[in-house]
Amino acid sequence: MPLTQKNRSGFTTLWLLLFYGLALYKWMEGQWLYQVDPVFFFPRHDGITWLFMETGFHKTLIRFPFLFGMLDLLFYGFPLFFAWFRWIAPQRTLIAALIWLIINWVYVQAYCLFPTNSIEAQIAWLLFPLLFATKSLNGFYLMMHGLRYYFLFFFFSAGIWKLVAGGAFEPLQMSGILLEQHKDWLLYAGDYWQAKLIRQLIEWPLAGFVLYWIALLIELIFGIGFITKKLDKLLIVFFIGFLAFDYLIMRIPYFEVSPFLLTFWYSRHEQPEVQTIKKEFYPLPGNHLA
Amino acid sequence: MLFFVALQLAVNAKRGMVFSPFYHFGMYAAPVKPVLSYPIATITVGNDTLRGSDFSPQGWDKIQYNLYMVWKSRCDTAFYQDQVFTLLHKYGLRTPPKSLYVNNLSFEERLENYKNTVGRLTGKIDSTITISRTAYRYYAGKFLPLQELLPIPEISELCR
Repeated sequence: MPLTQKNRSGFTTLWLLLFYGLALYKWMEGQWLYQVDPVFFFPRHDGITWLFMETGFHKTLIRFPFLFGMLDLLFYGFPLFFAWFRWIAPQRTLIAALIWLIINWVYVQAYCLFPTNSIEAQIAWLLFPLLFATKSLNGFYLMMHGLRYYFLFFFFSAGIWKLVAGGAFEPLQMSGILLEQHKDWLLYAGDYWQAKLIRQLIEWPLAGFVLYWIALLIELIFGIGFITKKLDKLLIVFFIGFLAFDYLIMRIPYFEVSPFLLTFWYSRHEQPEVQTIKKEFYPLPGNHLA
Repeated sequence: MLFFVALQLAVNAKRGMVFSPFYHFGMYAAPVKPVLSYPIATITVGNDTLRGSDFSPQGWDKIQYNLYMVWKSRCDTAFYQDQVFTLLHKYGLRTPPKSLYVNNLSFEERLENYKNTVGRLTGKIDSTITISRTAYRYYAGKFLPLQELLPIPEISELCR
């Protein structure tokens, strides 16, 4: 069945629900910029970050901390504004989406310059305004698949790197990772259930190694998405499982990449036909009589 | 699409430097073996040692990861000199002023601010906060202290 305007609206609604659900979660965890209230920054090896730093905006933020709250307002408020704006002025969506894109890029670049989070976890916010910038249904379809491929590459390449860099062939890999990742946490975690679980995995290297390989295979399985969309629902299940275990065992809340799951859910729809696009966006003379 | 593929492959081929939103997703890809000694920071608020199990992952990061970043932020000058300046100069590009890469607050001020944050997070603003660092060995499910106290990490150790 071809992608329809109804599907696009459904996608947008789910995306907004995810965005605001995650916003609430981040607020409860004290992860909004005004809650973090940073006083220093540390740069990354990212050419775009270096360009951003040319503006000196990161230093302005530290000098005037009230701007953290202003940035939060823009970042968390703009998607709602955009949805309203698209509803009242659909022909001017592109301009609003470009403003949204700029807000998100400035926010994420600033947010990740301060010791808060890795920028890789923010990719959904960097890229999804591009999807909503599309005017035609066909453009939406193509951009959605572009984002799907991006995400496939993200996961698939993570698996490939584990093979290329050699982590996959180190029998004590998972024990080493868990000790490095949780050393300060485990020291005083006592008999807390999660600490017990992690200690079990450290002390039973074979189980940890098998778990590492399961994660690796899940990442590699995403490569199949380049060939077919038929297994996308299965990839959704794998991905949710991956997120859950990442949180449970690694204590990494990687939930902010979850909006990409929507591209897998809606990929089952075919490309809208040209006639459909014409009817929906450029009503043909006499169509209203039909 | 081809542009995307080319950029992503270029970033993967040239490890290290990335260009948002093209990253190198190689986390935990390199071999990581358990080692004999793990330096661990312990934070004490008043008479209470902070326990990881009392915090969410994000809350604990604000305590342990932020402390590490306070230490690491002493590398800002070296980062500018060894990475930014060297790389841009090599390719004949304009080098940005050093002030954009170096923090205004001194290391002591950053550390003091960190302690204030820990006080806020634990709801004990007026308590004394002490930070110590000890080397431990992991053995039979426990971390055993190897020696009494370690100094904070050297800049040479952090700025690799």
